[in-house]
Amino acid sequence: MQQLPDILQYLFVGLATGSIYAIVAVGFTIIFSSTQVVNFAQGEFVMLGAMGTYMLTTWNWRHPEFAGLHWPLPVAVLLAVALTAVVGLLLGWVLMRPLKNASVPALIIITVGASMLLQGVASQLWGRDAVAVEPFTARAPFATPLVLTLPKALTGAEAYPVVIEWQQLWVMALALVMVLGLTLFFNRTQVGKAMRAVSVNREGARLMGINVSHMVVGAFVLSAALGALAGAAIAPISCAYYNMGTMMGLKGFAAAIVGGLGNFTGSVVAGLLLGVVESLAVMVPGLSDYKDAVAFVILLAMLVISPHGLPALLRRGKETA
Amino acid sequence: MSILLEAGNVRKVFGGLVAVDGISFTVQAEQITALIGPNGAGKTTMLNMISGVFPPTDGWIRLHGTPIHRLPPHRVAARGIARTFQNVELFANMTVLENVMVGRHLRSRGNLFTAATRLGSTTREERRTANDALTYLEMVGLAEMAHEDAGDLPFGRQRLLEIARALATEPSLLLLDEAASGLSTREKRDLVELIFRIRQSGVTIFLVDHDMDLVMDISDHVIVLDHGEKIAEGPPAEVQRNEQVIAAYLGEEPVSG
Amino acid sequence: MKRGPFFTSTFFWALIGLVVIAFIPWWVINLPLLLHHQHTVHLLSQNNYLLHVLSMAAIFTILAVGLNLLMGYAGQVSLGHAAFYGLGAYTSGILTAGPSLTQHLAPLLALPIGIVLTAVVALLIGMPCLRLRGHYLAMATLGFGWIIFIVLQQWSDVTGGISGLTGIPPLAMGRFAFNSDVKWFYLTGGSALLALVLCANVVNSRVGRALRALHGGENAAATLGVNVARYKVLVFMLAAALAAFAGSLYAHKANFISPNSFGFIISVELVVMVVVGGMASVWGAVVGAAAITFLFEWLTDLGQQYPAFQDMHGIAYGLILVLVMVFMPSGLTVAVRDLVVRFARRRRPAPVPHPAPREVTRV
Repeated sequence: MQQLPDILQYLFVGLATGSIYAIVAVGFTIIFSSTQVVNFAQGEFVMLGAMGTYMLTTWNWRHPEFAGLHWPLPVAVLLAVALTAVVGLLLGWVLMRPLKNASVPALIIITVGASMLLQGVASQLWGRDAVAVEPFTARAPFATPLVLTLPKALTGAEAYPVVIEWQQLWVMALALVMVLGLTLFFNRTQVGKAMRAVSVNREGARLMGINVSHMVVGAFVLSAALGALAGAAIAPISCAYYNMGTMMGLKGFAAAIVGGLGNFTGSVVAGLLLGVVESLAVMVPGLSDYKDAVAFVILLAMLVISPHGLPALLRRGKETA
Repeated sequence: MSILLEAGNVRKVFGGLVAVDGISFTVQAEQITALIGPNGAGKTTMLNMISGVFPPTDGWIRLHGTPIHRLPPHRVAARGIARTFQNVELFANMTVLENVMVGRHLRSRGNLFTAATRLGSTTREERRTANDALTYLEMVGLAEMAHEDAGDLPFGRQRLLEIARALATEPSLLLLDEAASGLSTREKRDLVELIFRIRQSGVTIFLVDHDMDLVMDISDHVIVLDHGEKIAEGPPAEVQRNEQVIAAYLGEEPVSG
Repeated sequence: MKRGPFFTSTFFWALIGLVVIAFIPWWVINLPLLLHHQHTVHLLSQNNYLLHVLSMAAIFTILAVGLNLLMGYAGQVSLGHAAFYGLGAYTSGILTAGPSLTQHLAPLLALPIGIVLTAVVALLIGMPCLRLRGHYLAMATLGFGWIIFIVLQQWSDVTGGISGLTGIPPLAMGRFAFNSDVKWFYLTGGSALLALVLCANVVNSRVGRALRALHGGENAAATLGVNVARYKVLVFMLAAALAAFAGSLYAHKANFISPNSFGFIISVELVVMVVVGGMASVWGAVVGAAAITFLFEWLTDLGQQYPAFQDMHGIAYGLILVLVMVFMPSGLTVAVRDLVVRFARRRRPAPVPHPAPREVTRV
C-alpha cells in the first residue's frame, strides 16, 4: 500500500495531539464530576503551561530587560505547572459561592469569562505571536527525529520514510503516565477516593466528613496541573500562542462529550480517537482546509445523536440488539 | 358514575429496576381517589406516567376511554389533566399572578406574531387572562398576593399557588403529589376544605400522600401500592382493615428522611 | 403583566425613543458648529464618528435584544450567536457583491432573504440541539459558531475567505441610498427601536409568559400545556432572525465584511451585553449594547494611544463577565433598579421589609 507511510505519519501526529485532547478531556471530566460544571477555561490551563514554560526558559517576554535569563527546562516546566495550579485554585475559589445557588447558564458564563480573562492577560504579558518552546529532549541522541523506513514489501514502490519526532513520543508517554497515575490516585489514595465520593454523591460525602469545598478546589487544581503539563509537552510541536487554549479546550471538550461526560476511560479513548480522526481527515481530498471543523462536527453530531457519548450509544445498541 | 381514568397492567422498568409492575385501577369521575403506599412503592412513578413525563414500559392508561400513555406532557395537559409537584415547582422568576396566568396558556390564544405586533385582540386577551387568573387566586385565598414574587411566598402559600395554577387549566382531573406534606395542621385543614370545594366544582381528584389521617378522611376510593404492585383497592374503611396493607406499613424497616 | 401608570408602558418609552433618535443627529452634528458660530449644515449627508458609533450600538442592540429573549427569558445559553449575525451579513454580502455570482441582487431584496435563510438554519440547528440542557446546549451553540466561522474563512470562492468581501452596495430605495452616517443612524436607530418594541410586546404576552415559564421550570411548564420544544425553537429562530437583520444592516453599512467580525469573541461580546444589561429586562439590552459598544471603542482608542494597552478587550470582557455573574447575576440594570427601589423605600416608613427579588435559580 503506497499510502501506508503517510497513514502512519498522520497516525503518529494524531496520537500525539489526541493524547493532549485526552488529557484536556480528563481535566473536564474531573471538574465536571465533582461540580457538575463544564469548565470553559480548561484550554487556558494548557496555554498557561505552554506559555509559562516559554516564559521561564527564555525570560524575554515583552520585557527585554529580562532577556538572557534562562532556567533549565525541568525547573521551568515544574514552575509553570505549579503557577497554573495556583490559577486553577483561584478559579475554583471564585466559583465557590456561585456553585451553591447559581443557575447553570450563570456558571457557564463565569468560566467563559475566566477563559477570556486568562487569554487577555496572556496576550498582554506575552504578546500575540507564536513562540517556540524547547522540546523535552533536544540533545544527542535525540537531536534528530526517529526515521522509520518501511520495507518495500509493505509499501509497494519506493516510499518516503515515516518521521517521528521524539517529542511526539514524549507526549504519548506523558499521557500514559498521567492516566496510570490518575487511576492509582483515584483508586488507591485517600484524597482520590474522597474526590470520587464527592462526584458520586455530594451530600453523602459531606455527611461522611469529607470537606466538599476542599475537594472541589482540589479538582480544579488537579485539572489545571494536568492541563499545564500537557501544554508544556505539546508546545514544542505546535508552538505556543496566547489563544491556543480555545482550540485545545474545545476539542478536548468534544472528546469529553464523545467519551461521555464524567467517564474517565471514555475521555481518554475519545481523545485519542479524535486526534487520529482529525489528523487522518487531512488525507481526504477537499477536507484539509476544514480540518479544525472536524472536531466540531463530531461534537455536534454526538450531542444530537447521543449527548451522553459513545458509551451510551453503544449501550443503547446492545439493548435493542 | 362514570370512569374518568383507567390504568391497565401498567409496568415501568428503569434500567434493571422494576418500579411499577402490572398495576391496574380505575378512577371514578368527580370522586376523590388516593394512591398510597410506603416509600418506593411506585406512587410518584405512576403519577409521572399519568401526566406524561415518561411512558410506561408496558400497559396502558386511558382517559375517557382514549389512550394517553404515549402523549407528551403538554398534550396530556391539553386533554384535561393537571398536576402539582412534590417539590413545589413554581416559576420563581414570575409573580404569583403570572404563575397562574401561565396556567391559562391552554385556554387563551396568541402566537409569536400577534404577540410581537399586538395585532388583533391581544390586549383584550391579556386582560381576560389576568382576570381569569385572579379568580383562581381568589379561590385559594391568594388574591392579595397577586403581584408578589412567587419565590417570596411562604411554603404553605406556595402549595396553594401551585394548586391555583393547575386549576387554571380547567382540568377534568387534578393530580396532587404530596400536597399536604410540610403543611401545618391548620394549613392541612384549609387544604382539605379546598379539595372538597374543588371536587364540588366538578373536578376529579387523584392524590398521592403519606398522611394517613388526611387520606382516609377525605377519599372516596383508595388504592394501595407496595413495591410496585397493587395490594388493595376500595373504600377507605375496607382498605384500612386489609391485612396486607397493615403489614406493608408496619412491617417496614425505619426509613431515614 | 403589571398595568401600571402610562409612563411605564412600552408605548410611552417607544415614543421617547423615537423623539430622542429623531433629534440626536441634529445635536451631534450642529452643536459643535453652533458653538463655533458656524452655519448649521445639511444634515442628511454628514459623516460623523459619534453617529457611527451610535449606529453600531443600535445594530448591537438588535442583536442583544434577540439574544436577551433567548438567554434571559427562555434561559437557553447560546455561545455562538455571532454565527447568525455572520450568516445574515454574508448572505446579504454574497447576494449583492459575491465573487461567485454573475448576477447580483438589490440590497433591499437580499435583506429579507438573509433573514429567512438564517431563520431556516436556526430551525434546522435548533430542533435537534434545543433538546439538550444547560452546558450541552451551550457547547452545541459554541461548536456551531465555530463551524460557521471556519466555513466563512475557508470557503474563499464564495465568501472571499480571510480577506473578506468588499464592494457591498449600500442599502437603497430607488434613488435614495443610505450612504452617510446620519442616514445610517436614523435607519439603525429606528430598526433598533422597532426590535425593542416587538420584543417587549412578546415578553408581556401569552408567548412571553410561556418562554419565561420555560426558564422557570420546563417540567412544570409542560404540564401546563406549554409545548416546550416548539417554544424553544421559536425563540431561537426569532433571535437568529434579529441577528441576521442586524448582520445585513452591518454589511450594507460598512460595505466590507470579514470573518473576524463574526468570530467567537463577538459571540462572547454579545453575551457580555446581555449579561451586563440584565437578563430579565428587554430595555436592559439597550443599556448593555450601548455600554459595551462604547467600551469597545474606548478600549480600541486606548490601545492606539498607549500601545501597552493594546489588547485589553479580552481582559475587560472576562472581568466583567466574572464579576457581574458572581455579584450581580441579574445584571446591571436590575441591580441598579433594586438599589433605587431600596433607597426609595428607605425614604418612607416601610410596612414590611421586602427582600430583593431573587435571581433565577432554575435551569
